Amino acid sequence: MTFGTAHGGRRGALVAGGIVGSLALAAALAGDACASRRLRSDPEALRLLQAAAEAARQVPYEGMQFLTTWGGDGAKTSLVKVAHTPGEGTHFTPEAPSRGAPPPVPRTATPPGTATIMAAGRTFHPDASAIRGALTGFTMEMLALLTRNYSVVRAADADVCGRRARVIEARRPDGTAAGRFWLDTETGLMLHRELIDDAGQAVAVTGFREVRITSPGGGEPIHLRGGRSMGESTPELPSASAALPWQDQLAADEISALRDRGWRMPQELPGRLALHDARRSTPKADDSTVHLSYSDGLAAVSVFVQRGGLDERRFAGWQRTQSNGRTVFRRDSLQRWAVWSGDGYVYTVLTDAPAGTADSVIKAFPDGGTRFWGRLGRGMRRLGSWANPFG
Amino acid sequence: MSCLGERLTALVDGELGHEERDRALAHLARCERCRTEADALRRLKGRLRGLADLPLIDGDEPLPSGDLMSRLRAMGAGTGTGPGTGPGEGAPGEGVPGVNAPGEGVVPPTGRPSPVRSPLLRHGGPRERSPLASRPRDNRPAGRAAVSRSAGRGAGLGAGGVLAHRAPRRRYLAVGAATLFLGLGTASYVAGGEREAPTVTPAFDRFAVEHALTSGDVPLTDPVNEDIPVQVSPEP
Repeated sequence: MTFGTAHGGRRGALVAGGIVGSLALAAALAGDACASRRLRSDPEALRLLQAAAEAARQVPYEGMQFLTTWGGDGAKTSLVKVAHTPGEGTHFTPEAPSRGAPPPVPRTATPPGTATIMAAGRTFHPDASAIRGALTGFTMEMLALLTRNYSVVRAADADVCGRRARVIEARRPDGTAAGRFWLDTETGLMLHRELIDDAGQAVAVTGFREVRITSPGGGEPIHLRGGRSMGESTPELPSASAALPWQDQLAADEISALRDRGWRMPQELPGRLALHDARRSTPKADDSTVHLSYSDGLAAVSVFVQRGGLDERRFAGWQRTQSNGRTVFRRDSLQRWAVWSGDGYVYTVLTDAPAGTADSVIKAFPDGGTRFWGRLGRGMRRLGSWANPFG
Repeated sequence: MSCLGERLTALVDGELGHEERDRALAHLARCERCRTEADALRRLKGRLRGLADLPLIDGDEPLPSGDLMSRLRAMGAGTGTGPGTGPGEGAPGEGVPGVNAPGEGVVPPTGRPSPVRSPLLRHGGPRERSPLASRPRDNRPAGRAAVSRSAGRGAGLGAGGVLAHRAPRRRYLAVGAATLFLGLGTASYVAGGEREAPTVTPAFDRFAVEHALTSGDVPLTDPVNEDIPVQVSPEP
């Protein structure tokens, strides 16, 4: 009896020691990996990025913003006039583009054949909105993703948009630049943001083409060094509809419930893209669209999922491709679009990330459509849901 | 042709119900012609059985499996017994006078005792034989066998009958489970097919704004909405 107890105790101690050792090893490895990345980030660079969000709320400005993307058929640019009033929000007004010359963006190589595209629709984005990112700074989630995947460091200051700017660089583990940010030296406002592919080519740039810092009351503009003057006062703007994202933000348990009902919403996608936001167009409606936002801290990938099938005849002008045995309609416009249907759902991918990222996202998205076991499992789920009186 | 017709054969096969069997036996008790014919039938069956029983008689071959034995016992119990006439309960007076004497086999015309005993009497004699030897294999049409089994069940079964029905029950369970498995699999496969979903067209313009707002870009409308012939669905 005594022997049995001692033997059992030794075995228990061994098992417990093994588990603790495994956990310690895993934690050490994970901690090292994270720590090494975070240690390589410059705290000052991170502080500047965080401060950009506050500057976007407090600094009154107006100007012209652009988004330029480079694809296989050249560059495309979209323009919009912006006017921000602290405490209220930002008006976005379509602006006739200045044709011909591309925006003054520092870029390592510019493909020929640029085209400028107008934005449409006037909208208003209130400061009270919880959504922040890119030019308006980083949310804590996005900053966490950025520091998890990249080393964020300071680079040499530069002039952009006629203003002196501090340059922050996000570097891959191999040391190559994956993104750059230009922050106004005097106000902290983010002026430019650039996304760079593995080959060192800029694939998307967004920022101010022209900017003027105005006084808080909308009176005399604040003239800063190198700033371009766009007039003495902010022009009166017509009324605009509020540009707000869908308000039904999905919690983790709601996402799990939708997954149980057959909605395919991966938590991770290739390229270290993590699901950081999920919203639904209409609360608890079967015909609603779910918007899944993925990011690695730099690139943004949106996946829209809705029930239904596609009428393929209406996709004339789209490139018809095959991926994982399913038909995918693609179009590289200002951003990259991909649409396919399967399993009773329609998936729409929208991203400004490089083409390779978009391709891997499409391939990695579970199809669950045609394989035998997938169909069997789907059928069992359906039978279960039909038989469940509480479902 | 006997007075009993088909019932005589059924009587010899032990397929008659209790009341009908009593009536048939009562008729045999007073009808010489039918008795003779019944004896002839039993002799014939005995010879046929004897051919099948040779290995058992020799004792060289192993006995059938327990499952088969229990089924064979069940046949005997189900067809030859009724209330008060279960195995070992056969009263000497139940034998057909002049045909089967208690404890004796059917006396063939040659005077040599037949190795075959009537199921009614097999427990009463001193030389009790294997039930296999006392009962022919059930090579009758399935319909008749089923009728006889159901008749036996209706009349009430002894312990042998309960044991005998466990094997078919297991078989039914296995068949039922397999049927359920295949049925569910087929139903799942059919139900898992592509659903007849309504055709939708993504609201590209709204998607572009939604993407811009959540990614922090300026809310630009992608020209994908302007130069392609895709109808944009109304905003949700």
